[in-house]
Amino acid sequence: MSSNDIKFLDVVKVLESIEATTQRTTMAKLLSSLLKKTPPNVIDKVIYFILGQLRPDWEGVELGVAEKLTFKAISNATGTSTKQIEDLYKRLGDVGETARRIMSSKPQRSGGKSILEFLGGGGGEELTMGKVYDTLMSIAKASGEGAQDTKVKLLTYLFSQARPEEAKYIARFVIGRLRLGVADMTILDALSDAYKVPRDALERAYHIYPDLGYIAKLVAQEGQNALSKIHVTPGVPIQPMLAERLSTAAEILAKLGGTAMVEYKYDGERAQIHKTRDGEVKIFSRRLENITHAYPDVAEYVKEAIDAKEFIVEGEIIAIDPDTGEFRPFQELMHRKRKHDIKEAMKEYPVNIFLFDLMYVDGQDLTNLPLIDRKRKLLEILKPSDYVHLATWRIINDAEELDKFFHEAISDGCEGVMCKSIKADSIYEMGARGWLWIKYKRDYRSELTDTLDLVVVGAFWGRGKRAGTYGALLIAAYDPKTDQFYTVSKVGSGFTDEDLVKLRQVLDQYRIPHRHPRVVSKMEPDVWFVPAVVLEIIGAEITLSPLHTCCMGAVRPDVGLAIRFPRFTGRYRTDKSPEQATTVDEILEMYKEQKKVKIEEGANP
Amino acid sequence: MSEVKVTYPDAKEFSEIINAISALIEEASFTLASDGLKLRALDPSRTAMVDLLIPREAFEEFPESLSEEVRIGVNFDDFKKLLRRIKKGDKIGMEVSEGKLRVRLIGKASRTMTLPLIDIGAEELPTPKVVYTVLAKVSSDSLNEALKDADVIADAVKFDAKDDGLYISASSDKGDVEVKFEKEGEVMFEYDLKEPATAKYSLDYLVDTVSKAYRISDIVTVEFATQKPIALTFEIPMGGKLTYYIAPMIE
Repeated sequence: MSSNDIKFLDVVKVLESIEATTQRTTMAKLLSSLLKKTPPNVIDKVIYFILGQLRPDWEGVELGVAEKLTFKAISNATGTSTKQIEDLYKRLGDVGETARRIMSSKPQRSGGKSILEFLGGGGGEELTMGKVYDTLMSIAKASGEGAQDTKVKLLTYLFSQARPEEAKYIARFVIGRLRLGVADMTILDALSDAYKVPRDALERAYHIYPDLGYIAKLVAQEGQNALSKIHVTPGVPIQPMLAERLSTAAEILAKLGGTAMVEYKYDGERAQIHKTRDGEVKIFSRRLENITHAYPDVAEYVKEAIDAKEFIVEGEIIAIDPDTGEFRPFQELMHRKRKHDIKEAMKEYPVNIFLFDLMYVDGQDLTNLPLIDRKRKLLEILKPSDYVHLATWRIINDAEELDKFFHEAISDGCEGVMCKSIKADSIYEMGARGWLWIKYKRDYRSELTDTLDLVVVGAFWGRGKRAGTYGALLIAAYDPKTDQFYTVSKVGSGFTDEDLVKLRQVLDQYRIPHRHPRVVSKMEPDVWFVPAVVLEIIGAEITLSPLHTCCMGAVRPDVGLAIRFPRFTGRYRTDKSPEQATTVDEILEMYKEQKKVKIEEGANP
Repeated sequence: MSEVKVTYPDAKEFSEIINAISALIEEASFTLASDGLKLRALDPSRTAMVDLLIPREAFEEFPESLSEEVRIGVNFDDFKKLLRRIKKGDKIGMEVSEGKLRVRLIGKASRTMTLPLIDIGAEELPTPKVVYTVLAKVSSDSLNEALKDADVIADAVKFDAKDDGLYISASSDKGDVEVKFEKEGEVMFEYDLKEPATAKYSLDYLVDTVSKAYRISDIVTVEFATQKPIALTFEIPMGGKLTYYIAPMIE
């Protein structure tokens, strides 16, 4: 091993400690000390590995290795039959643990010795992070005739060189279930601590260029100043700007300084569309996944409709009824991603796109310009077509007019409206939830009929008819200030029998033996999970509760907020990461609003 | 680097050699040295090694003198696609210059195609030094059939060298297979047993390699020893040889 690499075993030891801790601070410290002892030129590889990805999500690099291939490789490396391995896996439910046990029940690398050990070439070298990462990358790149075979062989090499504990993490990584629950925010904390770079400087860079491996390597090699080299770049998604919410037109206008640009809020998929200088169009979801493959038609439409060499625009993709031109529900778009035959899906589920912002055009970063200027530029370069439209908008300075516009939006099939500041400081705030944009959504005003997107952090076993499934789930809201999840409710209704079966399968991939360090809970569920699965929940109202940790102490000492009569709406928010779930601040805001409504109702019966 | 040019008289045979090598590896570097064309490479899992030598005498045209060895890194998938264009009776010429490999198929008409050369990190691989206790020269076709029979039943196969001959067997819950190559039998051309030996090998590697390489030569030389690798050597009719070394499975 050269001094430019780190032993894979050293990385694995830290992963084991992270898995064992229930303290978020310990987790951050472990990460930071690992980063400190990692040579700068492999720091990106260590970070990608911990995040369970080979490259940032938006690049869409996939290993293409399923359980079966993994078992085959373990079998080749150990001489254990694949049937034995599969049986053990069925019993344990975890590929990592399966790999570890198989490897440790065998004498030192028995089945799969390298041929070099026999031919007098040494062999049996120790795995390093660089070696593991490079081999995994070769697995991802293997394509064409015999690709599966090459993937198995490369993986066999890794397993035959790995110690049991190393094999555990390699196996989990390759099938995409590392489940450490280390989020991007946690990595930023660790980077800040390890390299003494201010957290907000790192976060700013991350918003512009969401590739933690790249950022880490840059600061590790060149220090904080190198962050100034990071610019908005077509082809690289930026973190989308987020909105706060309020429940009355008057309040919204007051908050925005009396006048706002109000736009229809379409119920579709928010999309960031990039065109790079070479003419390639890429579409990214709000989670910054590359979703171009699901919308090749949108890529073409937008390319046609915008007169610029390079650009980044943002809009909402909506399913459309081709006969009536009416909007179809959001769920229809899911077919686009599921269908293998995208041509067929394009015919069956046609879409339109409604653009609302322009962040970059021909060498010019517009994110620091006021909204009006960005809109003006967008109008200049956009030639609307049958498929590409400008989101319906109006400048409004009157609460009554805002309400009227809001109702128009609803009757046109929208969720509500977005009210945006047009003041001089109305920049595009990447990755931030601020008061420059405010949501005004349908039904928000009547008690709590608005939905929340909450993260499953634990579960309770079902009884009777629900035996063998999770009867109730412990759900939590996210707090970006602490990067932790706070429980708000135990939800047990709204689940169909199919949901119960599906949830068990989905959630068990994230099951861990103790509370996750990023979860704050007073309750002790039967089972804990890594925060990953986001569900849409509706409830009757938000109440004070001593059992839940959400907004603990914010209203009354030692009392938190909870959702009363929570129910699952049936919508799995796979489009949202746990960090994009409803925040504790939003819940506090909703609680205050609801109280206000009640007081008003009480005052004028 | 100056231009280097070789011509091999039988393009069909050359393509079969390439095909046989590609059973184990995706990309590798040939080395053009003063004694001939060589290739030594590990498969990605490092369970097997392939070793090829085609001596200069086998070529119709070969550089008179080479000031230094020339490395020719190719992707075998791409190389194979190109070689599918071979017609019966073609000769094959190869020229290395400026990062490209120009392949000429010379028949009634001469066609030239080029492949990009790829840079493959050179790993120094040792010249194999293993003491084998068994040497058997058998019909390559029969060995191929025996391995395919075993492959129906199991993932691995056992080689047993006894006084009366070589036994190839496999078993699993699906059944058992045993093929015997009798000493002085019809398909056994030479049998040299220093001491009885038994060893187990993965069928993945054996079937992949033998099912392609048996086309190169009617005879294969099998060498192994207890708990040691197996070496399978195919003599190339024009001169030279292709050997596979496969690591044993140790129980």
